[in-house]
This record gives sequence, C-alpha cells and structure tokens, in this order.
Amino acid sequence: MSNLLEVRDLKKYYHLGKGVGKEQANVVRAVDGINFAVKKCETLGLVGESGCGKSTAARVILRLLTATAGEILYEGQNIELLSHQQLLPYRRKMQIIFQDQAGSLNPQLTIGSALGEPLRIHRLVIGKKELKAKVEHLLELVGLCSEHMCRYPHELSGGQRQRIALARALALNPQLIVCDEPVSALDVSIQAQIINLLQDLQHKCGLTYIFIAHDLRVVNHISDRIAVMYLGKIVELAGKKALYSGAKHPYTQMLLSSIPRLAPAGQRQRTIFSGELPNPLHPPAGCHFHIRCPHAFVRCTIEEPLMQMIDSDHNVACHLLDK
Amino acid sequence: MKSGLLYDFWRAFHKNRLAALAGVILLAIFFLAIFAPVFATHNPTYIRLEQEQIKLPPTAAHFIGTDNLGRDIWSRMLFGARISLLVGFLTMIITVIIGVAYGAVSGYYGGKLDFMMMCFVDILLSLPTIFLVIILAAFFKPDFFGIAAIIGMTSWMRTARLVRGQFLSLKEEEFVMAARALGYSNCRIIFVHLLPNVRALIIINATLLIAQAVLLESALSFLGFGVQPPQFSWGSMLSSAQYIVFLKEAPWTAFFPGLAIFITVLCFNFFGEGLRDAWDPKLKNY
Amino acid sequence: MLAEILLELRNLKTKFKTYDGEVKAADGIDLTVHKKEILGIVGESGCGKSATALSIMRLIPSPPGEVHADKMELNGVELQSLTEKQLSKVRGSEVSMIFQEPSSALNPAFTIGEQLIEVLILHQKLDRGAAHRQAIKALNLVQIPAATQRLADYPHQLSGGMRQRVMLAMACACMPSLLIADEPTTALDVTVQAQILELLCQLQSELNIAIMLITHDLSLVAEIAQRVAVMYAGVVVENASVRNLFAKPRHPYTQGLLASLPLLNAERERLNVIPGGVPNMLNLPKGCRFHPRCPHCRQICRQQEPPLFSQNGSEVRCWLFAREMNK
Repeated sequence: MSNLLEVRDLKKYYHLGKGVGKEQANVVRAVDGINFAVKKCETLGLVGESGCGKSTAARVILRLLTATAGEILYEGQNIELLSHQQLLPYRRKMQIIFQDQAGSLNPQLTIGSALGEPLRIHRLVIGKKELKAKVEHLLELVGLCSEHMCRYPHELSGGQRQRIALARALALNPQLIVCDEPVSALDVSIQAQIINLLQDLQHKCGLTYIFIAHDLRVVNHISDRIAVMYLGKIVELAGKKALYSGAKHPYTQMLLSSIPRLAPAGQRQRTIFSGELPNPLHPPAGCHFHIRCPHAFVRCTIEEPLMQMIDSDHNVACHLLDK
Repeated sequence: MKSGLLYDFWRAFHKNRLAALAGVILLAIFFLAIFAPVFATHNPTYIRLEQEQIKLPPTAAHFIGTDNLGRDIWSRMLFGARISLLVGFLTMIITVIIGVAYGAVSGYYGGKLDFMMMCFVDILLSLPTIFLVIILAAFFKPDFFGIAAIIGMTSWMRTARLVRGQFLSLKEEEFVMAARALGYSNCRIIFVHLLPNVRALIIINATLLIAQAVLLESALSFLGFGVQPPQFSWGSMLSSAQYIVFLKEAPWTAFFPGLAIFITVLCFNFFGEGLRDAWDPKLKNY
Repeated sequence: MLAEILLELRNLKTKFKTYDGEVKAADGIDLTVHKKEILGIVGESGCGKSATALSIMRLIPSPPGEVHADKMELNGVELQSLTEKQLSKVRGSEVSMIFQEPSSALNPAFTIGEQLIEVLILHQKLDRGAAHRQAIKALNLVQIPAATQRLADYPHQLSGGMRQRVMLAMACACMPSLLIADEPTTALDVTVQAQILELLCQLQSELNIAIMLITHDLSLVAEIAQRVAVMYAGVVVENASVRNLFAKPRHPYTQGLLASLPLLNAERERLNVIPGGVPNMLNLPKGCRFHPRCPHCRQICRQQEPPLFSQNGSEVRCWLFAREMNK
C-alpha cells in the first residue's frame, strides 16, 4: 500500500522578534524537522507532552499554519506550495477535529447549519431536500438523531459536540482525518464511546487517522503505529506492539514508566524521573533530551542524534544505538 | 430550556430593575417623539412677541411655559426630540458601519496590515475631537444628516478598536480553524462566522454611542454649530435660553431641555450597562 | 489495623439554587478519612466530588449554595459549628486544599516567597526571619531545587509542575492533618504527574498527612491510594479498599468505568462502553440514578433509590447486593 501522506523534514519556527540590545531574535522551533508517512486506512498516533509540537505539526500538515520548511506530500503531490485555489480539492480530502469541542463549533450556528454549510459551499448537494437528507445521514453516522439539527452547540453535552465535529469533518468525504486530542476533555465513559466511534467509522468509510494525544494509553489503543515527539522532534517511531514491549528511546521508556497503572501499588516497580521540559526558547545543545536522560554521555551533549532504522518498522533517534 | 439572545435579554432585564426602567423611559421618549404632532399643543415655530406671551411660566395652556420668542416649550421639546434622537441614531449607524468594518478587517488579517491600520486610528484618536467637530461644522454648515456624519467620522475609532480586539481573539478559536480547514473563504469567515459572535458587543456599544452622540450634538447646537434654524434640537433650545437676560426670570426655558438631555443620556447608559450585564457571561456565546 | 478516624462526614447535602431549578451537587455523602490514609474520590463531571471538597472546606458561597451535613467532624471538632474566624484558623493549618490549576491558585502579583511566608506568619505566628527559614524548608520538602533562589521568583516564571509543588508547599507548610487535592495532576504532563504523585506519597509517609485525592482517573487512585470512593451524580456508589475495588468491582458503574479504560497492555479491539451520558442534575432519573445506563437494571431499580449496603468495610449502593450485604 502506498503512502497517503508523507511528511519530509517539516519545520515550523516562530520568530519572536528582537529585544532591545539582543543580538539574535528568539526562535521557538516548534516543529524541528520531522519525517513520517501514513498509509491508507492506517492510524498513526502522535504522542508527546506539552510543548512537543504535535498540535503545531497537525495544523501545519493541514496548511492551517504555514510551514517554515519541508514538504507535505499528499498522494505524492507536494501540497506545501499550493495556492489557496489549488489547495481547495485537497482541503476536502483532509479534515481535522479538535480537543475543545465547544470552541470548535460556531456558537451562533445551529447544528443543521453547521453541517449543511460545507455541503453547500463545496456544491455536494443540489436543493434543500438533498441537503436535509445528507445532514440526517451524517448525524446518523455519528450516532445522533435528526432532532439535534435545530439545536445550538451549547445545548449539547461534550460528547455530543465531539460527534457533531466529527460529522462535520465527514461531510466532505475526506480520506484523512487529523484528530487533535479529541477525547482529552471528555469524561472517561464518553471517551470510550468516541474512541469506538472513531474506529467504527474508520472501518465503514475507509478513513486514515493521525491521532494526536498526550495520553499514551489512548494512543496505544487506537493506533497502528506511534510516533513519540519531544521538543519538536520525533524521537521514536514504531508499531504499537514494538513500542510497548521494546521501546528503545529513554524518553519513550520514561513515558511508559510514568503512566499510572490499574494494578494496585506495590505490584510493580516504578522509576520516577526527575526534571521537566526545558524552555523551548533555549533547548539543550545536542540531543534535546540529554539533561533528563539517565543514560546520557558526552556525545549526547554535542551532537543531535539522527533517526535510525533498527527494524522494519522501528526507528529511533538516539546515540545509545551506536554505543 | 429555551435559549437565545432575546431570551437571555429578557431574563436579565427581569432582574435589573434600573435598566428595565430606563428601557421603558426610552420607549416613552421615542413614542412621544414619533407622535410629536399628536402630543404637541402648539406650533413649535410660532413666534408671538407680545409681552404677555413671552417667557410665560408653566400653565395649563403651555405645559412648560414659553420661551423668549413666545414659542411653546413643550411642543418644541417634542419636535426637538426628533432631531436629537435622529442625529443620535444616524451617528450610531455611521459609526458602527465604519468602525465594525475597519476593526473586523484589521483584527482578522492581523500582522502588518493591522499594525498600519491601528497606527492610523491612534493618530486620529490623538486629534482633539470636539475642536475637529466644531471646525468641520462651522466650515460646512451641515443639516442634521451632515452633523451625524461629522460626529460619526470622529467617533468610529473606538468601535474599531473594540471590534478589532474581539476579532484578534476570536480568530484563534478552533471553529475558525475548522472553517478554514473546510475551505471557506476569508470573506465568509468574517461575515458569517465571526461577526455574529460580536453581535452582543456591538449592540451594547451602539446604545452607549447613541448616548454619546446625543450629548455631543447638544453641545454642538448649544455652541451654535449644530442644527441651524429653523431646525432645532434640545441643544439649540438651551442655546436660545441663554439669551434671556435674567435666567432667574424664566429658568424653565433652560431647565427642561437640559433635563431632557440628561434623562435621555442617562437612560441610554443604564440600558446599555444593563445589556452588558445581561449578555456579559454569554458574550462569548452570542 | 484500623487507624484513627480523622474526618467523618455523614449525610452531606450541598444544594445550589440556579435560575433553572435546584441542583443537588452532593446528595447524602458519607465519607471517612483515617489518619495517614490516602482516600481516592473518583467520578466524572457533575458527580459532586469538587462540591464535596469545597463543602468540607466551607468554601461554598452561601447564596446560591447551601451546605448541610449531619456530621462534619475533623479531629473531633464539628466544622459546621465554627465561626468564620475559627474556620480561617482551621483552613491552612489543619486542613488544606490544592487545586487543579496551579497558575490560577497562586497570586501572580506576589513572589512565591511572599505567599509562603504569609501562610506561615498567619497560622504559626512566626516572625519574618523564622518564617523565611521555614519557607525554605517547605520548598525543600517538595523537592524544588535551589529553594533559596526560588523564593524570589514569581509564579509565571515557574513551570506547571513547579507551581503545583509550590502549592503543595503552601498547603503543607503548617503541617495539616488533612490535605484535599482536587485534580492536582490533571493539568500536568504525565511525567510530571508521576513526580507529584510520588511527592504526595512521601508527604503521607514523612509528615503523617492524610490525603483526600479527587480525580477522574482511576489509575491514579490505584497507584497511591488505600481506599477509594466512587461517586456518581451526587452520591457515593461504591466505597472500598483499593485492593478490593480493583480486584472485584461491585457496582455496575465501577465495572463499566474499569472496562472502558484503554490499557497499555491489554489486547482489546473495542472498549466496553457505558451507554448514554451522565444525567442532567436538574432532572435526575427516578429510583437509582444509574439505572438508565445499567446493564443489570431491574424493576426495583427504576422505582427506589438503593441505600448503601455494607459488608467488611466495603459499601455498595446497588439493589443487586441487597441480599448478601447489610444496610
């Protein structure tokens, strides 16, 4: 199966302007050269803590933010440089749902309007009857009924709003949906419903997902392959089994170890790592993780590690591999 | 559970007695102004210079007495209300149209465009408004529409800043990003998606603008630069009241027009504040 | 090995009068916290866990809220009978609270040193010098490096994890008997969360502080708590030791919650879901609050709300256990 989406050396830098008396402008390297590919009908998980750049990467891929450098190849075509007009057909193929379901729906529009608008703008329906039928079909797909059509977003619960956001994304028959922390703000029981819905829709409509979250448990459940990000870089990219049982990068190991487990305390050994995310304006030299890494050595402080393939589907960026 | 802009509005005014009262008073004033010919007792421009007619105190025939030219003050107040309120509304409309459009474009596009547009606004805001208005009015000698235009031209800047601020924050909301992901044009996003979300703010701002405009027009007319005779407003009534040598003689000629201005402006302010309190927590939703 | 009871809460009812009706945020909550114990309170949004915590701290604003309990005793002292002045002595020195958002709980206009010293001066009547030394000790206790320099920092200069540690330092500076932690790690990254949890365990063992940990994440409770109470729509539905709850969850809601969690090592294709959503607090279902979503719902569940049945230190609010347990 060929790649649906491929990202090559994608960068997004924010220039914060010069202070008085400073030599160099401050730069935040939100996304610092990431590479990955997603196959059709696959789910790629993108996981990392705050400030790692995963949400920024999602927005850059969808051209909601302009990339500083790099290529975004959709079905082989570089969409990075396309104009607004040329980009329109691709917009229909790639959609996004967000974490804040309240914020992602226009509070002024009824659900029916919000779902009907993309259909009208892109001329996917002719006439009011067809529009209504299509909107009802979309509501049904996400497990809601047509009586929700005249409601406003604030009248619905968080889970229902997220379903609407999903329905809106599906309106244009996309191939790829980027899910940016779609369940983080939801209750646990609703979270499970939405995750199941996402999986069902993937089978039904042949969707490809890029699933972004900070909770490795959720990402692990829904993804086929997982990319772990730290301070703008991908440090490990592997299939989910390989990641869970054989994570090679110290940061991935740290993440896995920090996750609280359901087995009551005392039944497993935990290593608690000290330290916190460094200031993104002044990332450590060499490997960004070396300050918190229990296995860091001299080379880590000087040279940034490159992504290496250690298995057919397991890439790691760490100097430990060469040791 | 019903909801909507109007329903919340009703619910809050239910509690805020002062604002509700202000609203009722305003409605009464509009009513009187619209039906001025019905409620007026005399012809407001009818001059009678006989000694026994001028500077009459309030009587049964003349509710608020007569001024120095024998004109019935009550009738003048009613017809004057029309001009004062009309100028107020026109000014508000001009200000809102220019201010909202300017602020929306500046806030939505941001960056260098926003910077330049706001610089321009800052420059205009540094000019002394009152003097500018007076100079323009003295030069062009406009009718009431012209006055509205002049006052409007000098007051749109604050509205623009307000709307620009809202747009700057709103455009970061995720539903805007979702709209862009769905391929909507910028025009559509500004008018269909963003503007309705600042609706409440604009309406509140508008009521306060009317109050300000009424006050400014009165000041202008008082100074003689506003509406010219034979048109008159409350402000010009105050102006002509000056000419009575002993104001002690006929204080009602100044008192009542002044009171009318005061009450109208106060009511608009209370009403506007009431709207703000009513919609405030929901300003985000409406 | 039952430790002494520190906090006893019987029949707590907290109501809020809203324009649309009365919301019973807490409707008859019974809780017990023993000395030096970590009690986890778990529930989803609207279950009343935060309302319970704020009620204990007497921080619920009086209109529109109304708090009443048959018993609310901390160390034998009935909290409801204290005056506001007496309460302000109790808060911070005998019972403290930390919140979810450390950035909004710290005053941005003052350095953390000033805020720490203020707590110490107020409650322990120390002079500035002694308070300053004590503040450094408190920061060391929560493992903030370079404590002396940190005292001069403002909250915005610290990261989220550091701010939460400062909150903990402020809360524990006066050695309270009970610490209420309301979703203390929800806003933090998972690695920092692990550090804070470890810190809470240390505070428990070194300072003998009992902790009431409020969270929506069952696995946090599994990690550090000894007992756990599961809340749903304003009532406690299950109350047991952590060992027993996770080994054998009794209430269908608890079972549903556990089954719907995505686990790292489980091979689940689909998650089990509890259908529907949490009920509207203005319009609670008749009978058992959970019955519309319960796979084992029976006739009696629709009509009568079950009382808490208890047995061997575990309590369940479910008609399924009426026979085997006692009221």
